[in-house]
Amino acid sequence: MWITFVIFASFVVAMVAMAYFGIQSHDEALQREGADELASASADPGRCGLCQAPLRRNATSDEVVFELEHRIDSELGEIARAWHSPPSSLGRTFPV
Amino acid sequence: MTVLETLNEAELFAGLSEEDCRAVTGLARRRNAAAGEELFRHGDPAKELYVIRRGRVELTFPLVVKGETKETRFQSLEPGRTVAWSALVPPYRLTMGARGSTDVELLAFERAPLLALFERSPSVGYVVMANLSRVVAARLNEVVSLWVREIQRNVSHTYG
Repeated sequence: MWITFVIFASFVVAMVAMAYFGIQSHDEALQREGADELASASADPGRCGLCQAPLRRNATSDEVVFELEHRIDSELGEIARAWHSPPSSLGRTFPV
Repeated sequence: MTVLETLNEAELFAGLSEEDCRAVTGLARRRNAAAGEELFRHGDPAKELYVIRRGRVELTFPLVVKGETKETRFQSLEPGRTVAWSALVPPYRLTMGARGSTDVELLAFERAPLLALFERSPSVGYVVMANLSRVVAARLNEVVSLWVREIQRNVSHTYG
C-alpha cells in the first residue's frame, strides 16, 4: 500500500512540475516573440507618406530635425503646387 | 550687380520707379554672414528688415527635440526675397529665426529711416507696404496650410 501511495504521489508531483515548467516556457516564448516584434518595429519604422523616403526611429535630435525639415520641404512643395493649380482642383479642403 | 539693380529685382520694391529706388538705395546698409551663422532669433525685437543680395537664408523656428532646443528650417529663401518683415509691422517682434544657408550678403534697412521716407513719399510707402502685405500673406498661407494639414491628419487618424 505504501508503495502505491509513493508511486501515486510521485506521479502527481511529476504532473505539477511538468505543468509549471510548461507554462513557464510558454511565457518565455511569448516574451521572446514580443521582444522580436518590438525590435523589428524599431528596425523598420516605415517610409515618409509624402515621398517614400525611409524614416528612422530612435534617432539623434539632429536626425529628427533633418527628417522634420525634409517633411516640411515636401509639404511646402505640395502646398505651392496646389496653390498654383486651377482653383477648381484645389477644392475647399486641404489635401493631405 | 549694383545695389540699385538688386533693389530693382527685389520683391519688396517691385513697382518703384528708378528715382524712388534710388531714394531707397540711400538707406541700405550691407550686412554679411557666413554659412550657418545666426542672423536673428525668433522673438527678438525687429529693428531692421533685409533683402537678400547674395546667397540663401533659412527661416527657422525653435523646437525642443529630446530635451535639446534645435533651430529647425521652415523655408530657404533666395536672392531678392524679404527677411524680417516684422520690422515694419507692430509689435516689431520677429516671428521666425534666420541663419545663412550659404555665405550671404544682405541689404539691411532700419525701420525709422524707411518709415520717414514713406512719410515724405507716400507713393513709395504705398508700393512697399503693398508688396510687404504680399510677403506676409504668402508666409501666412504656407503656415496655415501646414497647420491645417497636420490637424486634418490627426482628425482623420482619430475619427476616421
